Amino acid sequence: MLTLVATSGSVVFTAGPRSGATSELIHLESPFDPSDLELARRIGRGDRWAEEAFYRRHVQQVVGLAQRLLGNSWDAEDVAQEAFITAFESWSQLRDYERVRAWLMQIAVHKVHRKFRRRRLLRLLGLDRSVDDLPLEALARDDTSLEVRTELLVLDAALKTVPAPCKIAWMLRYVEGLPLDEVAERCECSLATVKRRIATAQQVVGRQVEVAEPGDE
Amino acid sequence: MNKLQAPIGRHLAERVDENAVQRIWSGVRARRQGSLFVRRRGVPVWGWALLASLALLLLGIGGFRYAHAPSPRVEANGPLTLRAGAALSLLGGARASSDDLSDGSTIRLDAGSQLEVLENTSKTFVSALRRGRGSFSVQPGGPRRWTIEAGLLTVEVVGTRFSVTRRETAVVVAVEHGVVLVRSELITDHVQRLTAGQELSVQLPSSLPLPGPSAVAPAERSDSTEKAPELGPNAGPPGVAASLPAVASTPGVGESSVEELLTGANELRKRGDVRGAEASLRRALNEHPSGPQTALVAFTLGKLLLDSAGRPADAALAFQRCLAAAPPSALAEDALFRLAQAQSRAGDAPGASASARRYQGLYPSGRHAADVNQWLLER
Repeated sequence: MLTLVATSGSVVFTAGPRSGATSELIHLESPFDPSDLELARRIGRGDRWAEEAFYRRHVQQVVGLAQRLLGNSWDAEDVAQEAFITAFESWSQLRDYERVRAWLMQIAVHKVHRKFRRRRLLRLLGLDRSVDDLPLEALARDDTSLEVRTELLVLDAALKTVPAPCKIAWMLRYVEGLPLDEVAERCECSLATVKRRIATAQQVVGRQVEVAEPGDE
Repeated sequence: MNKLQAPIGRHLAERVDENAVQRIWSGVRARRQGSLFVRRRGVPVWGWALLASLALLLLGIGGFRYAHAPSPRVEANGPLTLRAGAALSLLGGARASSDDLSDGSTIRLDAGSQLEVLENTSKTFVSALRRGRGSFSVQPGGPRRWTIEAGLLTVEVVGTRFSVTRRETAVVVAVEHGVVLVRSELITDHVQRLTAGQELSVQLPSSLPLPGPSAVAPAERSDSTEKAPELGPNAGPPGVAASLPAVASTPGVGESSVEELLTGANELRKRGDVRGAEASLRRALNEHPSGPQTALVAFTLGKLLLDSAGRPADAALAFQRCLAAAPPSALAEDALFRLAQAQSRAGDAPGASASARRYQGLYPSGRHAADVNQWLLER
């Protein structure tokens, strides 16, 4: 006798006991909720359904990351679209399917760098009409205290004056809470360079806002 | 300085709705299906190539102009001054004025407007728009937190362009660029965030009757000062009697609600009748010595006496009365900070230090922690 027990993300088959035999639990991946690894394999084989499933699973995180780094909803959507397009087009270059999420985020950060460089060029030409409609304070959760909101406002203003590569490194460290080696991986630079960029940003930010170190050193 | 705990992202939410998810996917799918020139914003690739060529041509001119653009100074130390070096205290007058400040900020006042500087340090710049209209262009990235008091509300900014207009029955805040926080007891949740292009008008409710001049007796000091009720844990230093002078009641006038008296006091203050506003608030405290509104009335009286009447010693008593009435935590924090301010301005250095240290202990990450810490360091 077989009993299907649905849990979140997986289906558990319970083999019913035959005379004298003990029951055995067999965990199988549900076809309705494949893992990233399974999706990555299927995308590699050209499965377009798997592409959409992968997209829907990660789009919120990618857009959210871009929103926090760029402070602009339009640019964040642009970056997210470009990131997924690049990811799907260069899927064959992905060596380790188990790290597909980190790889996607690395592509997104790369696109953010490009977006900042483009903005700077447009600003020099006087053609930048973008409006930063999503400062950190605007992204604050509804239950955030007024004191924290005020600090987020101050942080926004301080980060505006920091060069983009330094700002991105600082935010990956202190806003996203990534370890330094992951920050370096996302920024596609050495650990020494990341530390230098973070220190540069911290010189500006630290004058106005005090941020406790993430506890994962 | 307040402390944010990393990862700061714990305080943030992702603002991605289903429309955006669909929009992005449409673009991705179109590209995957071979439409190489589809871009969400509709700028084709050849357009970017043309733009790049134009950029190379204009970059020389743009770079030259950029290099010669005046860069505003950002004053890092000491109080703000006018660009020419004169101190800031009272701005405005019969004529319209425009003042450039030492940090690159600008204050423009319409004719007949008046802006009084209340506090001016390396960390904060607090001013009060007494009347008229002011347009403020606050230098972004500066070290100071700007606060503009405008009667019914307070505007807090960090680098932005906005205007505040103080009218007879309303105060209007309009933001041109950046973000401001507007705080007022008269708006929902007591705070509103305005971004570029947004405007907020805070009005006095017109339905409530205003007390006429005959209904409010002028504030008089009685020989027998009433003792304050027993001070609670949030009150000022022990041993200090928080006594407020009693107000002679006017015979024949019926008791009014706290809301009516509070609203009336605000209206009188807007008209410049500070003594009338004070009398109205004192009457509210006399007629309603305890209740949910007592702390708010006492706090409002303290603000009036400190900011408008120039009587910091009496203001300190009012703030102590507020704290004794066990106010909500946000009001208690502000009242303790204002108490320290009032005691400092009244020359009560030991009292001010004690209040400041009490604030430091109770609100180490509070709204005014940076100012309190700085003030204690300088003493």
